[in-house]
Amino acid sequence: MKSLLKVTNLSKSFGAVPALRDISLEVMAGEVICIIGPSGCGKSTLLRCINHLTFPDGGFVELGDVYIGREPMAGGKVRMQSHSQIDKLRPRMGFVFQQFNLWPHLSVLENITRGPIKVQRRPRPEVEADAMVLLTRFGLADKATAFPAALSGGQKQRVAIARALALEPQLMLFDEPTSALDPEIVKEVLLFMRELAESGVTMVIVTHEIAFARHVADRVIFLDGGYVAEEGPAEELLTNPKNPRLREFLSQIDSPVMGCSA
Amino acid sequence: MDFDFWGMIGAFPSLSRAAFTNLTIAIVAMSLAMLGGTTLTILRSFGISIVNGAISTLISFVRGTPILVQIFLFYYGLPAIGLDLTPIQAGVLAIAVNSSVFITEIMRGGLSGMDTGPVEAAIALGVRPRAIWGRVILPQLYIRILPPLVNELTTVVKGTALLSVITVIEVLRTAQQIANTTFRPLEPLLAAAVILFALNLAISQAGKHLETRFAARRG
Repeated sequence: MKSLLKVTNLSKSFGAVPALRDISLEVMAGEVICIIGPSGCGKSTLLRCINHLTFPDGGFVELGDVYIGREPMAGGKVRMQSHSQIDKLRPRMGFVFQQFNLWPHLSVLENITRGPIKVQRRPRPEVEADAMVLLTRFGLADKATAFPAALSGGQKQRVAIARALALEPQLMLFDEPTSALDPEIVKEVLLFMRELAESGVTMVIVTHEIAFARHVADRVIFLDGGYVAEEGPAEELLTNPKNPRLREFLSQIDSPVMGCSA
Repeated sequence: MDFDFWGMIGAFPSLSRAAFTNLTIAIVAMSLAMLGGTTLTILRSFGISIVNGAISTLISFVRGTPILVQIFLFYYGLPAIGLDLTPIQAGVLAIAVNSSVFITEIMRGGLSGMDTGPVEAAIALGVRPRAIWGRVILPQLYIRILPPLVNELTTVVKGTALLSVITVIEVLRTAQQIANTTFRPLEPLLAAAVILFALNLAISQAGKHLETRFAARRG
């Protein structure tokens, strides 16, 4: 398998508080990786540092064979790319947010076509035809002219995924894509993401859905305190966790609390 | 009461013609003010301290002095520094600057309550900063602040009557001229009030219509 994303010694602090410490990981083309861990462990920060919504303080991010943001130079020096250089690389990674972040003033179709038309400068008729194919595949063809406010949470998240896919990214990043959804809709979106994973899209998913990670992920990464505390094949890592913190984390997530299953 | 009803009716034709001047001035001033208010808002977003200092000085001056004084300052002040403007031009500029300040403050309020998520989504897709303003922030912002903007437009329409003091022949000055020849000030002034009221009523109704139309596009 070919390496697609390579993160090397990534670090990030917010003021004096370190969020990521020396994170290294590699994602192969076609692989699905789930990142799990307690709140505040740096999961979202890691994802945001990969596409530079947040700028890392140290380390490198490589997608395919291009560096994003910090570039190593001869003699151990580091060159920082300009914002416009980074803007040009960002469409290679689709980003899906917990809060969907659709553009409320644009219709569903416009939400999907704006990127390819404005960023990639592709001709509108072609982009619109492609977007309709995506919407039909996602079961949203009848919502093309609706505005985001009229959609359910699950529909919004599917539109957000379609918007990211429309730029034909090499990699999809999901930041807790089901955490803002009603429980009965979570399943709908997870099933949908599973289909996406089976179609060969490379995905890095920050999630609290352990069962989903077990079934869909090739590998799981457990982050704790800004470190990669454990990583390995999903089934193995989730069934026989070696790290005591991961054992504790999994038992807390799986056990029912106050009569409600988390 | 000694009120000449037909005298009031008789004032309407010439006042209505003069009201076109008010409407034109209001439209031009409001367009300039939208441009000015938007420019000030974008300038302020860069966070350059000298620029922001200058803008907040302008804001406190415009907010803290009567618009009538500002109109006089433009009318007498600009020729003094070599800018020879007609009364209408000076008046339009004065109202536009005044209104720019109020619009940028309205926009600031609108921005502060706006979700930053859609902007992040645009950044993540690689949309450039200029397009983020033009395609993501401003359209959402204008939809959000439509009600106070319509309110500001009615203020601008009322402000055009003040240009009567710098010899602009608009609806109020025309009413005063009628009063000077008939020696009956109440009738033409009341007619002028009715005309300005009708203009603003039409504007606020149109505003309500737009609000309904854009309701679906609000987040």
